[in-house]
Amino acid sequence: MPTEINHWRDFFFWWAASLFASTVVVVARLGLKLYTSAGDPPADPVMEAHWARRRRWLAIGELSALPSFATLSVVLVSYYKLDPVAGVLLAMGQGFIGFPLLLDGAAWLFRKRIGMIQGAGAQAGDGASNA
Amino acid sequence: MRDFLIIITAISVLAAGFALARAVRHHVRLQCLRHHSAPSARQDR
Repeated sequence: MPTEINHWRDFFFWWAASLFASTVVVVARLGLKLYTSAGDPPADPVMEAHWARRRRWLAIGELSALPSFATLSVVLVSYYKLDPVAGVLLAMGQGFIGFPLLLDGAAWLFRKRIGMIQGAGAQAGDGASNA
Repeated sequence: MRDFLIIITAISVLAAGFALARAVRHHVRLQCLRHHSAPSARQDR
């Protein structure tokens, strides 16, 4: 097994492997988040539309971040001379952490900015990551 | 190859950021609607 990625074909192979690995993790996490622990949609049609769009954009955001996860992991392998398998595992780790961390942070900042934070944990269980 | 990587990563990050911003926007709108509908529901009771 090569421990360095020099040829573009090796690079592309490990990039595709990283992409596949992170896709599997992200799709599994999205499935869990959007279809098992999401709860029921709101009864109000306007709120239901926002709820559905939030879910859609959350999924698009997660999936569109996948190429950058794969590129980051392969570049790290290439620059730091890691084992390519470590790059695939790295891509899986990035897919596991993903964008919800950023999304929750951004939502918290928005809520703080418009003065909707009513104490620590007031919005717990209602974050964007629950979609 | 490096340019290709930079382009792919930039497009991916921009698309993810755009989608993230849209998701946050809808999330905040949803929170606002819930926030505003809660007092009126209390008044109705």
